[in-house]
Amino acid sequence: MSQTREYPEEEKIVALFWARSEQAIMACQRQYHGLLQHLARNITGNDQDAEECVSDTYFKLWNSIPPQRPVSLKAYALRILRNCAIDRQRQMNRRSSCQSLDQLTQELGDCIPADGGTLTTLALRDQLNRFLSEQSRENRILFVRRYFQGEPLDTLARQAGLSEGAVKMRLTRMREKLGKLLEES
Amino acid sequence: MMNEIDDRFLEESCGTERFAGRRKRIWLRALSGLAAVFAAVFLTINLFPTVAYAVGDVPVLRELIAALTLDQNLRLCLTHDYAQYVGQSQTDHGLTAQVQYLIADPSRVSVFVQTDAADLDVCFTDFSLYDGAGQRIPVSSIGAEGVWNDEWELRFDLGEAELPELLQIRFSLLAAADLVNVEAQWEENAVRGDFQFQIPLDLAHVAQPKTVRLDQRVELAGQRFTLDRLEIHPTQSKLYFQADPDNTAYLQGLAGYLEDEFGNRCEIKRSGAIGASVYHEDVDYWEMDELWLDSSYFFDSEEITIYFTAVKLVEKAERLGLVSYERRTVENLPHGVTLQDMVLDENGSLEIWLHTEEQGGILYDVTTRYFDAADNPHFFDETPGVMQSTAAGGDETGFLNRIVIPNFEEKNCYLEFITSSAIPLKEPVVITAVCGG
Repeated sequence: MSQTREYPEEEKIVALFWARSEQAIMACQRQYHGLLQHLARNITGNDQDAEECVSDTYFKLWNSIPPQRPVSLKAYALRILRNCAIDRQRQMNRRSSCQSLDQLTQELGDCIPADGGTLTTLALRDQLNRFLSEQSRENRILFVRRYFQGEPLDTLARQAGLSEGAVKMRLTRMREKLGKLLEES
Repeated sequence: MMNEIDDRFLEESCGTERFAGRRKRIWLRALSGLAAVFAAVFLTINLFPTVAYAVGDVPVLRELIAALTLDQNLRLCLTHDYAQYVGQSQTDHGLTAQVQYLIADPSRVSVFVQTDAADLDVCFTDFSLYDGAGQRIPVSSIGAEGVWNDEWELRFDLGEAELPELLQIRFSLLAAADLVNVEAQWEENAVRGDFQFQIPLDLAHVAQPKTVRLDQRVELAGQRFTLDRLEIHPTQSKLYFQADPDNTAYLQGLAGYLEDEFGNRCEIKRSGAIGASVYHEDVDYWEMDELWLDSSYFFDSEEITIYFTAVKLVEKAERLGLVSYERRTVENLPHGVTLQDMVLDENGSLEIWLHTEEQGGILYDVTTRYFDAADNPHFFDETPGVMQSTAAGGDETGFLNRIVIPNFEEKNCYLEFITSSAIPLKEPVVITAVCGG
């Protein structure tokens, strides 16, 4: 007697990509469109560019799965989306119009030590994730929402139930700690 | 660099829920936890001994509450049919709990539970709310109150949490033959039943609050505040306000009431949470920014007048007070707080007794922590310091805090004050707003 296995939604969608079923894209849209659109909007600063970035993301997902089989489809899609959005901003030479991206780059740039070029990607990954794992859940989410998702400070403050000043202070402290950690390594 | 973040951290950051661990501090008029439950039992029985025997057998909760409750909001909700009948029953370890009714609005869920332990002393513990998927719903305060000898209200103040379509209510019930004042002994001697009820909610019939925009400034005892709005839910009204950053003192308590054009008056609730505070990260300190009162939801008021009658303030510059055993002094004591006694024992622990004037003998912490010379905080609930009150003994002049500082070092200990006694306003400050019926 055959057994039916219930796959989690993500596994089902990845399986659809591997089966080259166009339903994969529809399932992705159903599951993640809002999240992707929100992240793209944070980075590009406007709905039209955001929409195009999300479309590019679906296209890249289609082209990369297979051969890729991501463990977390959500995280995989977010990475693709973020790169699409940043590339788009740079290609269109509109960085100056995207204050949030400039500001984020500048803020995070403070963390990288002067001789940061000597850090291997692997070492950077280890240090960054070690740093994040040592933070409280609340601070970690603040950091990732700010520097990966490009969430504005006022939105973060509202989500966290803190004042904007308090969010800024926490992020500053975390950047200082991360910078110190990277410098030591 | 940020592309190197682990998937698990990205996943974690994608939730839509409010993620802050630091919740607003909630202002309570009764102690939380076990002590509050005991207090509630005593309160109910002591206040209404004769009525107890007269209506003890009435099975209909609605009638029972209409007849007995001290809570105007619950009575009004029930008399306006703003309640959902549940009628579920469970038994565990010989204890039976029956969830009779539920009253829910976006600010609060009140669940009425009948136990079969009328002859026993009972206590509700570990009560919490979950949604249909088993996700815990963050609540800003909880409380259990004896409505009658075997009827209880479990109250969950929701803060910013949203009501789900399917509500899971979990609680444990302890029952014992004799009330034991020491909590540990009580738990050891009690029978424990664990319960989990699933209750579908009809969200279409959950009333949304009537919001009255205020946008008015007031000055209370020399401190300025901006009144933002009044949210009127069926179960309670919530007044939201902000303190002016230039104020010289932190607001730590507020007394007042609402009155409509018909003379209906809504006071500060008789027990449970009465407000919430905002956290000032720069000084690691909380200040009151919400006042919760009875509700005028069912009065169809067109005009609401807010009266402020008293405040509790802690001066910003006098938030900390140096403790000196040599001089037998504590500096910067807040308004109405006096040093009663100070004893240094042979182990180096300093015991301080502070008296706070308070009408009605309601119990508060005057201080919850002290700072050492290196500015490190030490919380009294993590050390042997506990508060004691004369309220239970019926002293109407106020209450006592007993504070114990282990390993006391002269000149190195600063108490942090979080309240004062009430400062009556010479004239009530009055604000009138139109709420449109």
